[in-house]
Amino acid sequence: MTCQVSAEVLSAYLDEQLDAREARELGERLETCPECQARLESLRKVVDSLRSINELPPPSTLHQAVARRIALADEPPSLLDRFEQSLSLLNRQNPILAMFGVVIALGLFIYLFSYSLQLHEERDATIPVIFQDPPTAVADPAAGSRLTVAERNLVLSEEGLWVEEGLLVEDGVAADSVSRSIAFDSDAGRALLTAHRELAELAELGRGVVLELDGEVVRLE
Amino acid sequence: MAAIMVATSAASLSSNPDLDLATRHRYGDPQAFEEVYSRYAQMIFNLAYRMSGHLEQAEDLTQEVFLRIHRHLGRFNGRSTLKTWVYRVTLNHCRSKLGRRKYPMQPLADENDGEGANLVDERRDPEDRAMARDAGRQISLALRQVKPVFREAVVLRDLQGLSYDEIAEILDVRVGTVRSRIARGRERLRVVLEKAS
Repeated sequence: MTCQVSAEVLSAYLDEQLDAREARELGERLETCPECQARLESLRKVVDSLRSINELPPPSTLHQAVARRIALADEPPSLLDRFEQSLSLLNRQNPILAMFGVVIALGLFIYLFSYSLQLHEERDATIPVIFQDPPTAVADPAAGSRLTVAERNLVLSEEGLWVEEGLLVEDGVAADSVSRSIAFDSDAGRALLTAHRELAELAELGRGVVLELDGEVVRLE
Repeated sequence: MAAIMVATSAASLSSNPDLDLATRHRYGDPQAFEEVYSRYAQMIFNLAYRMSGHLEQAEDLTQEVFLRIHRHLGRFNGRSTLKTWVYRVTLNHCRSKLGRRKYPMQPLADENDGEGANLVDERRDPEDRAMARDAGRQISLALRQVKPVFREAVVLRDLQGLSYDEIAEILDVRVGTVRSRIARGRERLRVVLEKAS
């Protein structure tokens, strides 16, 4: 005859997890069923064996290894890493959305790039203006006149002499106040270029400049 | 330093030491994590070892678990005990890592074309041979042949010594389910050990 007591009941009995009725029934059964007793003993041996296993101490290097990994994890990820992570996460969650995002980003980049090129071209088309604030008097050997330039506003970039942005915009009316023009290749123009090397540079670049000469706004071109 | 003082003063108002530990960690007190490490390193390592079956892998898993704990301890909300929380983090990580490459399981003799699962087979790796010298070698090897879902329950009950209620909370199942899983795990072990002897 096969014992009908379940393994679960025997296991729970060892842990004193049976309710009163279950425990009573099993107790009665054990008194009359050698098979039940054998199974219970067999199971008890397994549990005793399990509980006799000693815990292993963690490796001596563990603490240091944990500290090292935490220190590494605390380092902030680079911008590229974060971008890759975001892209990877997005890609996992929704590849189509990720592709769409990349296309949008690319389009935005191209738009901004072309816009900056356009701005650059517009700036090139504008004649730079030099004002006298604060006035720095420079003797003009050519005409005995006084040329005033605001040298602090002159910046020498890769493109040559330029006027700082902002000044030109704020005083854009100055270009309308030009009373006369002086050609680079005229006597007066050559004299100015000789006296002011920055202006000579402008001439080499083929650019004109508006400046104040003896209180008069003139265009050198 | 000021942050730590704030945390310490806040912690002194709480009646939950586990929550205080988490608060101190959140405010940057390095001693808080050290305390967690010293309390749970052995437990985590042994649990990882019993679930993976390999010492080296257990060490890797333990490091990763502590990395998770360090990252998330500040968000511990005190709804369970810290011990339960740490167990849950550890088991979840083991499942996640070991699940991908299948839990290490070896088939029983009757499931593998008659080839017996020789629990003391000296042809196995050096770790196994070393384990064979241990008193509990057969049990350790037999555990590898128990399905993870039952192995978890048996390890938590008989090796970690947790109560049914604690196991139910860690595994997020009913106590009745715990009882059933423990029983099935033990029964499987009994069969494996009988075949081996």
